Amino acid sequence: MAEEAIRIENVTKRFGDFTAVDDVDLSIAQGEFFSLLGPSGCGKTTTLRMLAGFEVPTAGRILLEGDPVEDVPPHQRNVNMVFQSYALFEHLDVQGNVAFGLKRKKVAKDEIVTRVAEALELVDLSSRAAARPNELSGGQRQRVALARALVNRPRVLLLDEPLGALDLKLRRQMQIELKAIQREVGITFVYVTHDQEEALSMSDRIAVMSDGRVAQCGPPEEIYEHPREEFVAGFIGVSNLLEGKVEPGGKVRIGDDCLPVPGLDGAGNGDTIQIAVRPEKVAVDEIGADAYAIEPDMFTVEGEIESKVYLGVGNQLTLKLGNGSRLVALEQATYRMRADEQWEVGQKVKVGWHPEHCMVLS
Amino acid sequence: MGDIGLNRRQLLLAGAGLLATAYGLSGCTVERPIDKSAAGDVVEPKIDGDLMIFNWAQYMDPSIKKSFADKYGVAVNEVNFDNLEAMMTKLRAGGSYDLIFPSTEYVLRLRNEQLIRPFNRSRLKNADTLSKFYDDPWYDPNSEFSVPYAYYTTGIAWNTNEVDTLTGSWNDLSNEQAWGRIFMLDDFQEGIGQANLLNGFYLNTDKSDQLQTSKDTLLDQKKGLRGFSTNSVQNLVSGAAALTQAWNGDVVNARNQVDDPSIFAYETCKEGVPVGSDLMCIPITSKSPGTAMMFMDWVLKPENAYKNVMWNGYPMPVAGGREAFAKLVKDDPSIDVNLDQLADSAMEYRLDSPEARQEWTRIWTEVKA
Amino acid sequence: MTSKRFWDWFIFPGGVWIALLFAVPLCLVLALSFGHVDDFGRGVYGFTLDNYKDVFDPTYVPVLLRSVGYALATVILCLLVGYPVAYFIARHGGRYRYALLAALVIPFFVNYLVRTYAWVALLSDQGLVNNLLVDLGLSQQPIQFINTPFAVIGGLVYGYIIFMILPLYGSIERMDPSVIEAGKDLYGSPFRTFLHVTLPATQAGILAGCVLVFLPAVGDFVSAQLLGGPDTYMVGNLIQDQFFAASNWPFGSALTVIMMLFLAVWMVFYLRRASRGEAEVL
Ligand SMILES: Nc1ncnc2c1ncn2[C@@H]1O[C@H](COP(=O)(O)OP(=O)(O)O)[C@@H](O)[C@H]1O
Ligand SMILES: [Mg+2]
Repeated sequence: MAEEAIRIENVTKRFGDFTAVDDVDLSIAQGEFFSLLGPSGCGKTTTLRMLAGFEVPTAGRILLEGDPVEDVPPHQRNVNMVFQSYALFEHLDVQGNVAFGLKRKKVAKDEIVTRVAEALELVDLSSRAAARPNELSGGQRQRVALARALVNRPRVLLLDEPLGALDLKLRRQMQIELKAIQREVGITFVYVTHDQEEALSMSDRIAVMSDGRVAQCGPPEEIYEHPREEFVAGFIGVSNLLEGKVEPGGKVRIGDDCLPVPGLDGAGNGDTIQIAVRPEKVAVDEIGADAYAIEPDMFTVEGEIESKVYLGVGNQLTLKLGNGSRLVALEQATYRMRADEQWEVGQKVKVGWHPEHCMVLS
Repeated sequence: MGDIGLNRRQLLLAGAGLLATAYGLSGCTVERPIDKSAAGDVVEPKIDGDLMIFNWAQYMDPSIKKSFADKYGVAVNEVNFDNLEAMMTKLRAGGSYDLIFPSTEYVLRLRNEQLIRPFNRSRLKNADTLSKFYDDPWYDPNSEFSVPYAYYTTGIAWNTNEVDTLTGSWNDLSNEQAWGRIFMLDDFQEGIGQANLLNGFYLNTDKSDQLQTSKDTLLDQKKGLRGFSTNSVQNLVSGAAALTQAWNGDVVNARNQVDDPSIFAYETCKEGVPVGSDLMCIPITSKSPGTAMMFMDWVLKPENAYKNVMWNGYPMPVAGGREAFAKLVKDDPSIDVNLDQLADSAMEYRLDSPEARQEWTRIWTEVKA
Repeated sequence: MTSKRFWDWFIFPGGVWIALLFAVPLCLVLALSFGHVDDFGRGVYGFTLDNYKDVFDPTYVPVLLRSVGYALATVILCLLVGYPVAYFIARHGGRYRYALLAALVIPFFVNYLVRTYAWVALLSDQGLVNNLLVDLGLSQQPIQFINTPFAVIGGLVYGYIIFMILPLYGSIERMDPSVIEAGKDLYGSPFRTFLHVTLPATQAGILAGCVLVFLPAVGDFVSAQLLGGPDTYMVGNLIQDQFFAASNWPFGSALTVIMMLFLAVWMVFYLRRASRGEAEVL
């Protein structure tokens, strides 16, 4: 791993008897785009605020580039924050907002001018330099907040749901821009979001948080493909959860069916375990017809279509299996599909998936 | 929302309306005219209804009202005013009262405006012992409209613990021992009046050059002042004043409020002793003028006058009242100023023309500004 | 359409009320200011500008200047005292916020005159404060607090500070607290953050408070009358004296009109600032 930018060592934060952050232990590398992902109230903002210096940990240590900073006040930490509400200074114009930090640091006048211009260039706001925040759109305000933080060239940039207030389209666009900017400036980003898609698409690594603790930390693929617990599997994308008993030979019995599952090393025979299959990994075919979606090495069972939701890019099917359990399948429309070929509710079907797409949850 | 803001044109219209109002009112007084048909009728004493008294607060012993009510079977009610200007305004607006207590100047103004009624003084049984000072006064020739209620003289009061170099002159208002802790009455007539006397001018002079000289005197005196105030009792008792221009009645009250009354002394000044009087008059709006006249006589009755003076501390120039005041101030007879012995040094404030009044108030403002 | 008309009628009672209690007396004062005093000492309507000429007589200039000076001093002191109080309540009052505000507001239901008298009792030469000072040996002799300009300004501050605290409280409470954190995050020390972020963010409240304190303070007469000395005569006292001592209502009216015009200028200045500020918020 590259050099360490942030180390959060066994940090706990309590408000009264309430534990907002519970024994969190993380290491974030220099230049990394690191996301804190979790539902509202799980302690993301509190963690971020401890990095910024607005909250002091109840226990544990925080190191920025190796130096402990728990006792350093916010204005002396070389990190900057993009606030969820943007927290722009309404009484200053865009330039004034962006120049604020440099002025406080007593940077030379002409240097301020060039750096502010650069920062505005970076976020594509040069033309609005003299505008007041209240004259800007939400997306523009967001960029001002970003420029205001980046212009200081902090070692770490903290972003608290920076796109939360934007509409979907703008969000998508800003996600791409943010990522591009991060690559360009090479600063460590610690990014708080409750949007799993956002986290997956932007991050180098993600820490999924739940009730103040870190449930799992790793690169997006690992989080998505190998969730270690039900919470993570459920929170990141939709998952089909199946409960079964471990049988000899690396198999799991679910009702009458016995399916092969890799990675059962830890579990003993007869144990009840949970396995998960992603909807998009489930293939569905007509009974009797030639195999169209199902591949030869797939594990298959029979079922019936219980309901169907047309999504445009495909169908979301709810399937009732012979053993009584239910499964959601996401069927992607492809060039091979004909428009008039549609599933009907009640139709009997064959359902299959590759055994390696079964995820064992602890 | 409707359009409730005024536009420019509406504002202009409003302005024009205002000017029109001003012209329409031109020549009118502030109050509407009232019925003055009763102004000439002479009041005779007889019970003709309940009584409504209009007076300063705390200026009459309530037991006198009660005994009158019991004796004659009428109700005696009282309402109060804060200042005489307010009293005038109420009367001009037609407010109905049976007995009022104006000062000498206000008696003149009430008379001139025909707001008070004459009464048959010969039928007042207790008026015989009134001081000669009130015979045929300047504000009420032949004493047809007023009888005196109480009076006060203006002099200097001081704290004997702090000051002992008094000279019996208005110059004492610049006493060195009391310097910086001297108060002057916040009353344009008392202020300018003493300066006039000090300069040897007529008390009520309206000569501009003399008033100018007096203004300079006042500006000199002001340097040693701690303030202008009519609240002499509080200033003496709280220790704020070492020396103050004061009305003698207030000195009695101040002495009543301390353990050792002898610390407050009072002098009248050799240059002249201003005398102020409050009188009783019957407004033309009175509904029971006869009862009002009966009540005047009741107040002047020696035993009632005695009680009243013991109660409020202000001397009354009538048998019973004189004795009561003498008793109140027996430790310091200087406070007891006998009007009949004052002779030439007794003086009253009077400003006969609006111009003189304006000149005086202007000078007073210049001193205070 | 019709329902709009219908609701418009509801401004009528209030409109009439305002007209009777506010506009009519105002017009009469204005009309009387062009009048004169008759031989009986009564105010008589007419048309003369003499009263206005008198207002601008050099005699009264020191009185006007003094009033404005005291009022400005009052505004500054109210701001210095009121801001920390409002800030503390708004940001750290927590659930006691309203209780604290009530504790500040309730004394102001007591008559201003009575409250000022309480100050006289407290600060007089033999009052509570002086007794304490002498008893504790902090001072040999009683200190002369009252009958000084300081006492007058103190009385004004005490009398009107609530008009500063309430709008300040409102604007501090409305402020997004993360703006302050943004200031600190951008390397502002607590003091610089206050100076460059908190103060500008609450300037609407500051402005409102200053105007609301200045207006009554500049026309006040109670404080100077009860707490003042020989050199603390204010415009309010001058006007009061014209009505109740000098019996010169027309001149008193002219003074009142000029005072109101002067204050109206301030008011317009404030309203323009305020409406611009509102536009910025939207
Ligand atoms: N200053 C505070 N006092 C008390 N509780 C707080 C405070 N700040 C946050 N919390 C609580 O801590 C929990 C985590 O909050 P937060 O970190 O803001 O969550 P997130 O940002 O993940 O939505 C929440 O339940 C919140 O109510
Ligand atoms: Mg949050």
